[in-house]
Amino acid sequence: MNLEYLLFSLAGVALLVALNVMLFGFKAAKIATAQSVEAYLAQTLPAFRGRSISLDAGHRAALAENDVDGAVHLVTVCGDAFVTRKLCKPLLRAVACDGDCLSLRLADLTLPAARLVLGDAGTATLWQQKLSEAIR
Amino acid sequence: MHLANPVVLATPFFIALVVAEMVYGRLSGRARYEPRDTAASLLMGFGNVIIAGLFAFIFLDLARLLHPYRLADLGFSLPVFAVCFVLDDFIYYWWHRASHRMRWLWANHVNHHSSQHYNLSTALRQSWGEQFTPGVLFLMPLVAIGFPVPMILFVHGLNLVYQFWIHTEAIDKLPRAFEAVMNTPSHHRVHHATNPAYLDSNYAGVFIVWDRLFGSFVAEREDEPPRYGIVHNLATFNVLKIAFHEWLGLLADLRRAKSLREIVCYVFAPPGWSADGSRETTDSLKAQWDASRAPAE
Repeated sequence: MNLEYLLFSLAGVALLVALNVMLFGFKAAKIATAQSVEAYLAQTLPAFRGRSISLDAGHRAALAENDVDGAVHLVTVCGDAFVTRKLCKPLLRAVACDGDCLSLRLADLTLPAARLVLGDAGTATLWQQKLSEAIR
Repeated sequence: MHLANPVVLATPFFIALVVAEMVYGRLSGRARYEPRDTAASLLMGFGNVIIAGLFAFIFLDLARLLHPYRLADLGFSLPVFAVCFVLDDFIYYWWHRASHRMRWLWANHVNHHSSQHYNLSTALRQSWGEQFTPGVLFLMPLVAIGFPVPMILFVHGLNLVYQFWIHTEAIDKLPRAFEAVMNTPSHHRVHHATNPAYLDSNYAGVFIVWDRLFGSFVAEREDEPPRYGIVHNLATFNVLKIAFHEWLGLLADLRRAKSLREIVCYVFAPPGWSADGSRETTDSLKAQWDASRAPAE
């Protein structure tokens, strides 16, 4: 290993990323419907049966309650893919509600916070109560 | 005898093949690339080369300590190379299996699985902490047998170079005889999948026969397309977070541990083990999946 090799490799990284942008561009995943959330979670967690599901107005996150054990799952997007977290202790640190907006603080290095705009204050309050119970 | 590092020699081919797969993927739709994911994978590979170079002395010093006690002097010859290659692959199988079943090793190996994409750039998403795990001990039996250290490093590099081309969705199943003996894109797609049906399978490096022999082989099914990544996929493309998230998670768990048993389990039990049982392990996910498929009584 020498400096030329490292510089060559870095140039290769830059070239490949530039080519990737040219050929594929940036695509952001969208959480379109409650059904798609349920289908995704059922794939990821064999014991998942959706009870209540709420989507973020920007279609970038969703909350879903599992009918089997009452656990609440967060689904969010990262690039063109989905990411999920089971919202329970000790992962979920705090939950706050401001009008129709629900804010979550997580003990997760790659997903430290999430913010969902849920459309109406009643829905946001309901989720806040459920999640506050989960971390009590 | 000086032997070149096969990974360094292969780097131009890696770059050329990633370009070819991107172009093919754009034209055919059979490969998916996301620029930030690609950048993260490539930078993880770049960092891996630097860190491996900086900390190579750990393996070399251990090998030097063991060298006087070797069983034989096997020297350099083609048959010895061939045997060394096969034994290295056998050891790779067990290292890889342990890396999925022991949290300490997983903290390092998870980096390689942390992309939700499966393309040639994923092959280069390598970890940054191998030297800080017991993984470095796995090659010591080859030193103890008496294979020359440069030969061990060379065949180990060849093994990694072989594994590059199997990280692709662009190649379907290959002829049956080849699929029976060798690790292939189809077998390795299963290994990278998070579908419960595929979890903890196909650990092979070069020869899939190890999985067939030791009961970890699972064939790819047309009705079960692989979904790639890890059980708790990462919500970031930041390479520092990708490299160290599991190490930090492990340290946090160790800080919270209330007994020696908990400490031992957090370090040596399968990933996902937790004192209160609140997290999923691959075993619990597979059990849930089996239960969900069982006919209702």
